[in-house]
Amino acid sequence: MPAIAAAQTPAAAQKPAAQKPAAPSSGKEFVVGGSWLGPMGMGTSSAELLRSNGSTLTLFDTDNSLGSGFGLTGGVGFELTKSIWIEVLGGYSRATLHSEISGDFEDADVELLSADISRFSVEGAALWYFAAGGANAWFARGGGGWGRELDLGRALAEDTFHGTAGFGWRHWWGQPKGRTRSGLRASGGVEIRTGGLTLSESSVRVGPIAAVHVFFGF
Amino acid sequence: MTARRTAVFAALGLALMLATGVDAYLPFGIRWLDSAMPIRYYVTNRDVPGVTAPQLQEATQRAFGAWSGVSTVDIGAQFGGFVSNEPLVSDSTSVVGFMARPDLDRVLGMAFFEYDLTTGVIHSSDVFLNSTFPWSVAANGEAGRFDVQSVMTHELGHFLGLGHSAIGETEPAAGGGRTILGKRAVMFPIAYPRGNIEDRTLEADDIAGISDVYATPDANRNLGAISGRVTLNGVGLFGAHVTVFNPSTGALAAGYTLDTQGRFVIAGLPVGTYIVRAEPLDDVDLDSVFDEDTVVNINFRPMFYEKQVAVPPGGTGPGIEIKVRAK
Repeated sequence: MPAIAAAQTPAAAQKPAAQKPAAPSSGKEFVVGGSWLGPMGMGTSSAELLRSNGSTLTLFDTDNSLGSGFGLTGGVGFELTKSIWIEVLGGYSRATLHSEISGDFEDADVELLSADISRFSVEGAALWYFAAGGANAWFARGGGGWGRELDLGRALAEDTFHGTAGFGWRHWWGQPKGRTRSGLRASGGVEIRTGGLTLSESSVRVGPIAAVHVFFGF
Repeated sequence: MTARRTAVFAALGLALMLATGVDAYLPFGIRWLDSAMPIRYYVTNRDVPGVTAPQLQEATQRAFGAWSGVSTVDIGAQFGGFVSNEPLVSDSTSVVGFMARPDLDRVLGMAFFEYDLTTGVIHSSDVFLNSTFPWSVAANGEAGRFDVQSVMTHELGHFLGLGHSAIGETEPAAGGGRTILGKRAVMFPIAYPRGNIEDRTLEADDIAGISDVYATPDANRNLGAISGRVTLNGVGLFGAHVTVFNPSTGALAAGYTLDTQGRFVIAGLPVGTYIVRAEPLDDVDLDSVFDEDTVVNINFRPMFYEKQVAVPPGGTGPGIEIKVRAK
C-alpha cells in the first residue's frame, strides 16, 4: 500500500502541471494552414470637374473595397516560456479589388469593376497562453509584418505593413506524450494594414482575419 | 523641312465652339529640344487697356512658371526683351503679345509654331491674346475681365507642344457655341468666365500631358502608362476618348485612340490603380482635336473597363481592351 500511495503521489502532483498555460509543449513546432482575410473598405471617391464658381460637378462616383480572400500560411514557432511563444509565418493569399460605379454623368455601361490581386507576407508574432486544460489551450496573439501586393498582371507591386491582434484556441491531438506531438489551432482577430494596392485616399485599412493551422512539434 | 502650323485655339470665353464631354490631353508629337531650354521669348511692346507690356511679360513669366514648376519635367523660359514684332510673324523668334482680332470674336488667344516636320522639333512659337476682349492682371482676378495669366497658361501649353484636353462638360449656349459647366484641365479649350483665375493652376491631366512630352529620366522611371484598345464589335475605334481616374488621388487624365486599331496610350501617370472609361467624342468640334476630314465613330455608349488597371513605375501594364457597345 505505501508503495501504491507513493506511486500515486507523483501522478497527482503532475496534474496541476498539465493545466498550466502552454501545457504540452515541445519547444519548437511547424505551423501550416489556411487563412481568411475579411473585406476591407477603401472608401468612396468621385471623379469631379470644377465649376467656375468653385463647386464641383461629379462625373461619376466610386465605392471601393478589397474583398475577402483566402490564403496559405506556414512557419515555425518557438517556446520562450511555458506561456509565451513566438513564431514567424509566411503567407500567400488572393483577394479582389472592387469598385462600384454610380451616378455616371452620361450613364456609362458597367457598374461593378473587379480586379484580383495577390499578396505575399512575412509576419512575426507572439502568443500568450493564458488558459489551458487537458488537450486544449487558449491564447492571445499579436504580431506585425511586411507584405507585398501585386496585381495579377504583375505590373504593379506595392509594399504593405500590417499589425494583427486576436485570440485563438489550440487543441492537441491525442494525449500529450513525449516531445513530438501535433494538433490544431484556430484564431481570429483584426488586421490593420497600411500601404499596398489601394483605391482610397487613406492607405490604412482595417479588417477581420481568421486562420486555422495544423502544428507539429519537434 | 520646316513648316509653320497653327496650333490650337486658345481658351475662349463664354460660349465657344467646343462641346466636350470627355477628358484628354493630347500631345501634338512636337516638342522643344532640351538644349533649347530655357526657351527665350520676347514680348510685343504694346499696351492694351488694363494691361501694359511689362505686366503682360510678368504674367507670362508666371504662366511659364506653372509649367516649369512641374516636378517631373525640366523646362524653363527666359524673357529676351520687348520687341516691336507682332506675334504671328514668321521670324524664327518666339513672341508673345496682344493683337486686336475682332474677326475672332470667340477666340481669346492662339498659339502658333514653327517646327520641323520630320523631327517634330519646335524652333519657335508665338502666342497672341486678343485685345478685343477686356484683360486684367489683378492678383485675384477682376470682375468683367479675363485673367491674362490664366489664358496665357493655356496658350503656353500649346507653345510647349500640347493639344487640347477635354476634361470638361459643356452645354449649348443660347447664342450659339457652348458654355462650360465644369472642367479639370487648363488645356480644356474653353476658358472659365471673366474674373476667374482657376486656370493659373495646372491640373493632373495637364501635368500628365507635359510629363509625357518632357519628363526627366528620373521621372520616367517613376511614371507609368496605361495602354490598350477601344473596339466595337471587334473593330478598333479611332477618336474615342479614354479617361483614367485614380480613386486614391481624385486625379483625372485621358487620351484618345489614335489609329484605326483603336489603340491608345496615356502616359505621364503617377503609379497607382486606375479606373478606365471610354466614351465617344460626340459633343465636341472634332476639328479642335483632329484634322477636319478625319472620320470619327461616335455611335457607341460610354463604357467602363471591367477591371481596375495598374500603372507600374517606368512602364506600361498589360494592354487592355475596352469593348464598347453600339448605341
